[in-house]
Amino acid sequence: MTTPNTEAHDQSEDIIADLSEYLDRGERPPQELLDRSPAHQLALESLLRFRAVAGGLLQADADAEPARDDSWVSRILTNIHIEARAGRSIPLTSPSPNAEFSITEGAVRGLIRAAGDSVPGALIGRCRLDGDVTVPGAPITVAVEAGVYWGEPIPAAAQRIREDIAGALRRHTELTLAAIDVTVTDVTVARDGQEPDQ
Amino acid sequence: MTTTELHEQLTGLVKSIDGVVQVYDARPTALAAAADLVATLIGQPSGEPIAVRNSGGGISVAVSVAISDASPAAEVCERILEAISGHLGSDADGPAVDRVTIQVSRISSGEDGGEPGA
Repeated sequence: MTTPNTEAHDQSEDIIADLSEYLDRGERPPQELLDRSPAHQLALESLLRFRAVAGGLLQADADAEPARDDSWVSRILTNIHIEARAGRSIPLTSPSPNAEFSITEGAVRGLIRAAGDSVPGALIGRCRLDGDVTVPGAPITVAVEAGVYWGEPIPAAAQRIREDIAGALRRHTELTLAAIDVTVTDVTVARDGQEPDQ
Repeated sequence: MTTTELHEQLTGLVKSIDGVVQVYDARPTALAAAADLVATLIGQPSGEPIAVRNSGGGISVAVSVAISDASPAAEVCERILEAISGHLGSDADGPAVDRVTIQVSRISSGEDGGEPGA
């Protein structure tokens, strides 16, 4: 796989590494670090949610025999720091011709990730906004990848993720949603879940 | 009123608005870094995050904020615009407001308030 912007990618990896070091020690990252950019705060929020949900999953994986592929962990972490970047500027209607309101694509992706992660048992992986978000009224498709707990009915989980994301976007943006595509890419064992028969 | 005073006033004003969680540096990154470096070298405090430019046509203000999830983004932007316009408009002798640019850079869902690693 190629990385289109290596420098930005490396910087993002630094953000996750920096934040993870503090969290691993049970410390809160210093406010000065978080104030440096919205990307740091967005990454921290996503990382905290991820660790809260993934803690049980990782323990279940560790207890399971044989050892399972944990590439989903690195995939989600990679997506968190890539998507924390500001990206495109999405316009909001302003009441004055002298004023310009907007919301960054990074903020919207953070919103989508938070909405999806709030669904019990779901953990959002990749998140993409397809379409020209800089043009008011342009049809936009939201494409997310998600992991769900083993035993959860996948269609119901996907529908709940879709509804929560739609609600969050309607509340904070004026995007014209053509579709919200949810692809379930991982099924993982919950902390108190049962091992699937294989 | 000096530009520094205006920066400080506007930053304090925006931070106090209901729904605003944080104010980020709205200045272009390279410019902000250079300005902060100069400020450090001459022993002055770093610049305020709100960008204010006073051209012949009036004052331009740029703001980048994190907001809480409690209010819709557009609503918080309107509150910020109202506060800035009201503040600048209160000075009858001051320059007119030419442009106000407000960018929401993060919507806080509240997870950052808890203890890490818990």
